[in-house]
Formats: sequence, structure tokens, C-alpha cells
Amino acid sequence: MKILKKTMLFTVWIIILSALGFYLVTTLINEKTDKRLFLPADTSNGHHQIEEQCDLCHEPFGELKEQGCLDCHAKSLSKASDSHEVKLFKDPRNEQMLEDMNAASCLTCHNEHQQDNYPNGVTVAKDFCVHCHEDVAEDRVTHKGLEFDNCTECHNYHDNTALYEDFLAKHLDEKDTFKEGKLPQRNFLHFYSKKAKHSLDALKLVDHNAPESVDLSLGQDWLESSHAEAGINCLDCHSKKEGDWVNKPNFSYCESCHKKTIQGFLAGKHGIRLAQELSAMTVSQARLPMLEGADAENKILNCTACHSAHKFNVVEAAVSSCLNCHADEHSIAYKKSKHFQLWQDEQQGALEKGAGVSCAGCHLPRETKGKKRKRKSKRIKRVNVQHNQSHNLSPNQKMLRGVCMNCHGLGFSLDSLADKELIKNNFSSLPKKHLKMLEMVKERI
Amino acid sequence: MKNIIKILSVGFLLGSALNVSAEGIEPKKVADMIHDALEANRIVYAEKIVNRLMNEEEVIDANEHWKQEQALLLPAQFFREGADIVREKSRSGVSYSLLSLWPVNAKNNAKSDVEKAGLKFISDNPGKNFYGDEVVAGKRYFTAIYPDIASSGACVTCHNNHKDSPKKDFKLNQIMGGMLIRIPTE
Repeated sequence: MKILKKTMLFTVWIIILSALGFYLVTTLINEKTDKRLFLPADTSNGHHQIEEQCDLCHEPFGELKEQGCLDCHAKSLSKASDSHEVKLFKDPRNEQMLEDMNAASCLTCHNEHQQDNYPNGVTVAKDFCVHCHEDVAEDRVTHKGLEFDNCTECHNYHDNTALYEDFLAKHLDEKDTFKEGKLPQRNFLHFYSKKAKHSLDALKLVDHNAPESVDLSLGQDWLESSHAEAGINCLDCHSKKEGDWVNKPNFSYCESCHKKTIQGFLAGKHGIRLAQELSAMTVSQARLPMLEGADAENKILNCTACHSAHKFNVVEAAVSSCLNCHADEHSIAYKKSKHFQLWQDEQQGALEKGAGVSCAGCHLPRETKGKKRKRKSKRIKRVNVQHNQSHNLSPNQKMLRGVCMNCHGLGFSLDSLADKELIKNNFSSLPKKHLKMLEMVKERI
Repeated sequence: MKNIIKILSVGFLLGSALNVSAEGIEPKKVADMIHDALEANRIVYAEKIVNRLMNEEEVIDANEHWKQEQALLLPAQFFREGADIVREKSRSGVSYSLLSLWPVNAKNNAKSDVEKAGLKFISDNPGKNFYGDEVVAGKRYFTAIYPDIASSGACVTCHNNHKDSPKKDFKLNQIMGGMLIRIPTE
């Protein structure tokens, strides 16, 4: 009897172990299953949204793959003025520099599942610049005596779009705030109209082309939208081919007209999961403080999360949509800020368009293309709204050129972005921090 | 048998005439050929793109900070970008760069002994190229350095006025530096 009992127990044990083994192995090898079970520790902000897909960063048996970094980040690094492009280190002349620190590999500085010293999973020691720039003071006397653990206050490792000497020199002694400062105006319709294959005449409700079975209660919202105003009918958004009708079109339906917008959205933290073919992000997955309540927590981050379907009201999308979810100190302080006051004045017509400052004005910056033409040209410059809202956040000096300096001088902007308390109170006071960058440039020129 | 000897003899003579050794074309010849192609591309970019669009047609500027300023690359930067791609994509291990004894950017100064000797040689012997062998980062290379001449007023003005240029009195047609081509030989 005892032997039978032991055998049965052993058999049950083997079955449990086999089932567990089978579950673990299938979870590990199946591409689309959630693998968070195997996480050794927390992932960094942003990556936490895709942490269930280990294979984006790892080979099947755990080894890190650098190509995983490049698959997502190479494009934006290439577009930025990356001061430490990998190709620089492939020159035999520079190979020796890699002996102390392999700057040709992302993984030398960025490590996951570890406590970081800087944002973006950067775990390298704070004085890492010393390996290659030990003699910087020989060329730059202004740097004499400076400690190497503070270089990143004035320099970024990758993107120095607004932090190079000629640019700083060009913007010395600027006023804190420009009286005429404003954001460039969006002009999507101008460029869309050039390639549109349909009439751009405004539509009326009777012009709609939705199938008879469709509930038209949202028709009024559409009628008041810029879509109806520009001749965009129901089928243009709800259908990709003849006879097709989708009640709730996803981002791929918007993409046919708003390709660049979607590219930006998918590259940012709102769209990163969709870009990796995972379910859309929900607000509850955010690490930043969000408003409590079912409405916000369950919100799915697709285009209509911010641009309410049919209305597509950009004013609403610029402030209300953000504050319906975001509840961190900076967001909560916005409505007490000077920026918000200006935004309200603009909406009430007291200020001209672009003079107000919304959430979107800073976090979805307007990018002007083709502005450096030598001859005065009558050609309208294309203004795109960058929908990768994470693009200019870290390091925040990436905001200087495209955002702050539309209205503020460089010195004031630099000091403001360096003042963490000021960021928390949404720039409701004057900067208390002062960077000596501009003084150093003055000394040199 | 006689035919075989004849064929081998003709092959040997042709090979000798074209400097084709058992390992292929000799490194000096390869370096000269690469230099010819690079030099031609530099001239086309400087004259047909930069000079035409910036100075003649006044369409767009060329700027050291071309990415940030939405401008054309300076000719030297165009050259370096090409060199970067070759280093990244080429499996041959060949690399090339622009060096100078008076560089605007200190990292473009001569580093190895061969680089130093080469830049000095082409500077002291106008019109002549320098060829040498060296070991860099544990690998053996054939290194060729060709004179880089100030071919237009724009080169001279830019270098003489640049705050980081250690030499402010360049003149037209003077040697400003050297084009280095490095070919792995092992």
C-alpha cells in the first residue's frame, strides 16, 4: 500500500513538473506570449511597455542583441546630430579609444534590469567622458578645473542639436522672452490639397456616404470637424476598399493621409506597443502618475484617445486630452501657469494664433521643414506636428530649438530646462538655476 | 606542354604589366585607383553641388552644422560621410580620411608615426605622394597619403577664419593636409 501511495505521489509530482516545464518552454519559445515571468528585474521607463516581448532585445536563450536597440532607435539617432555615431569608432585611427570604453556598443552604457545613473537605462559611471576627453582643458581653457561627473549638464552624449558652440554664440544675450514669440502655424491642408484626388469643398450631412445600416448620431460631430470642411467623407476613414466598412478604424486607416503623424505616434511612448504589434497601451500601464478613475485607467492609446472620433478637435487634443489622464506635478501645475493663461487668451481671440502655450505646443512640437533657403522664397514651408511626444523629453535640451526658442531666448531657456523645481511647477516662476555655458562661449569667441 | 608554358608565360607577363601579384593587385596601385575615384567625387561635389547651389544659384547654404541648419555638407564633411559608410559597409577593411598638420578639429591631426611622416613628406615635397606600411591596432596596413590642395577660395577663407584653425594664413593652391588611404595587407 505504501509503495502504491509513493508511486502515485511520484507520478503526480512528475506530471506537475512536466506540465510546468512544458508551460515554461512554450512560453519562452512562442514569439507572441507574455514573457514577463522571466524578467530578472524592472525594465527602464518606456521599455516597460514592451517587456513582455523579451525577443525584441534578447536572442532566444537570453543573450542581448544589439540589433534590437538599433531596430527601434537607429532612425532617430541618425536624424539627430549624434555626436558619438558608432561609425566614428570603426576608423582604425580611433580603435584604441575603445580599449577603455567600447563606445561602439549601445550596451556599454545602456543596461536593462539595473539601477540606472541617468535616464534611459544608462548605467555607466557619471564621469564616463574622462576615458576619451581627459585632455579637454588643453583645447578649452574654459573647462579647466571642471569635474568629469557633471559634463552632461551642458553636453549630451548623442543629441547636441542646440548645444554646439556656433549655435550658442549666435544666441548670446537674447531677451528672456520675445514679445512676438509664437509657434509656427500648422498647414497640413495646404500640402494635402495638392495631392488630394477628391473635391475639397465642405460637405453637408446629406452628402455622407456611410452605409444605410450605420448609426448617424455622430454625424453632427463630423459635420463640425475639419474633415467635413475639407471634403473628407465617412468612407475615407472607415473603409480601405470598396464594400468595406469598419466601425472603429485603427491607426492604419488614419495613416493613408497622416503618414508622418502615425510614424511619430508609433515611435513614441503612446504608440510603442502598437509599433511592436502588441495591444495598444492602456493608461494603467503608464509609470507616470495618472488620474484615478475607470475612465482614464482603461483608456486605450490610439489616435482617438486624444483626438476624439468624428470631432478631431485639435484644441481639445492640445490640452484636455492630456489632462484627462496625466496627473503628475508638472501636468497639474499647468493650469496655474503663465503658459496656460496665454493659451486661454489665444482661444478667446485676445492673442494671435500660436501665441498660447498648450501641452501639445511643447510635447508635440511643430517642425518646420525647408526653412533655410538662401533666396527669399514665396514657397510655404511645411509645418509638421511631431506626434512622438517622447522625442524631445530626454535629455530635455532637445526642446530648445523646436519649442522654447520660439518664444524665449537661449540663455533663459537653458536655465529653465535645467531647473527641476521649475519644471515641476510648470514654469510658473523664474529659473533659479544658471548654466555658465554662454559665458564660456563668450570667453572663447 | 609547349603550349602550356606559352600560356603561363603570357599570363605572367600580363600580370607583371598590370602589377597583378599572386594576392591580387598591389596595394599601391589599389590606393592610387581609390584616390582617383575619391578625388573625382570631391571635385564634383565641391563644384557642381556646393559652389553651384550656394554661390551661383544661391539656393542653399553649406554649413559645418549641416544637419541642424538644414544646409549642405561642407566638401570635407561629404568626404568623411562617404568614408564612414565605407568603414561601416565594406568587408575589405579599407578606410580613408582627411588629415592635416593644422586641422580645425584636433582629432584629424596625425596620430601614428606613418601619418606624421606622411603629412610632413607631402608638405615638404609638393606634388608627391607618400606610401608606407604600418601596424594600427594590431593590424598591418599599407598607408598612402596624397596632398590635399586648397583648390578654391572658399577652402582658404573658411580655414583661415575658423576660430579653431591653428593656421590662419593658408593660400590658394597650397597644401592644407592629406588624403589618407589605408589598405589592410593581412
